[in-house]
Amino acid sequence: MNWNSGEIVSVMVLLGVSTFVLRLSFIHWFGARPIPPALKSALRFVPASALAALILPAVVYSGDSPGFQLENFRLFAAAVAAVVAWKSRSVLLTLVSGLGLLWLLNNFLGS
Amino acid sequence: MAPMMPGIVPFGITTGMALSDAGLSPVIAIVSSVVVFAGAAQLAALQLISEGSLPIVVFLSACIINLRFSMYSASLAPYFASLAPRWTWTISYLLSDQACTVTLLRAHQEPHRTDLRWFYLGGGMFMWITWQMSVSIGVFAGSHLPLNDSLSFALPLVFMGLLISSVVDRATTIAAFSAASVAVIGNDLPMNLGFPLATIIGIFVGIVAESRANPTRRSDGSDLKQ
Repeated sequence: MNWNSGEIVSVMVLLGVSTFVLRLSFIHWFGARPIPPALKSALRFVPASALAALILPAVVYSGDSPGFQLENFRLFAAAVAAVVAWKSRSVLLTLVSGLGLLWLLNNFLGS
Repeated sequence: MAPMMPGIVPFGITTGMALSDAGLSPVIAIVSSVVVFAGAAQLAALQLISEGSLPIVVFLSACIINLRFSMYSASLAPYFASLAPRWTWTISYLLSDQACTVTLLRAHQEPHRTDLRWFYLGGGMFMWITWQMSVSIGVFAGSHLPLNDSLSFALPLVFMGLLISSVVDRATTIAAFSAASVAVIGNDLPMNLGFPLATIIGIFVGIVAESRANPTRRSDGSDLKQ
């Protein structure tokens, strides 16, 4: 579907309310009681799983030549940026290296 | 706090640009950032919206990413839950990855200090102001500069920078690779259901990987209080 700005704002408001409820959960309502261990061990894997599931399709299936093919320069730029992220642990360096390399590839190898 | 700024500023600017690119007016974009104040979830929602996902998928996916706030809330509750409501509401609104981390560290290093709430408030306000200013810069840059297609590549790069701090051991690495693989394979699933499915499978594989690595130990993550 194509979203209009009213729909985006509605989802943002709902997201704001649900986020606030999660933040209030223990500090305001449940108090100093422990999280069930099974839930805690599951929560540990949420950010890693969710972010990884967002990243790879967004890299593979976007741009001018989407998919697993040599013309998809985003695959190479993302692979280098992943190494930079891993070594530097810096959002800024990851962004600069990925965008910079994609720009170079597009300008010197692009058709 | 200051060492965290280099990560927050480009993250916030990218979020502001994505809000602007989604067609929100500058004022609405900044108000939405004040209402949500959860960058990863907001940026993930914008990524899924740009892919044309259904509202329910966008909302639930962003909620999954925000589940970690309940964990932060639980780890701060021993210090703050007995305070007056005006404090618990303020502390809850300002809850962020960074404010939680530095406050737990402080509570661990200097357990006898009674000013922990003020320490948290200072750190939380600093993060809030830095975030909103970064988003505002991105919103105005996005509404005045011609945004080309590179924004659609900037989003996954920012997520990559954030992912690295969540991948801390073998089990979280396995979870991330599993989720990424399922998300690519399931990319053609209707309604963009590939994303929530991949996240759930990643979590499940992570739990299994951890229980195999430590069959005797109950995994409860790392907790600074212990």
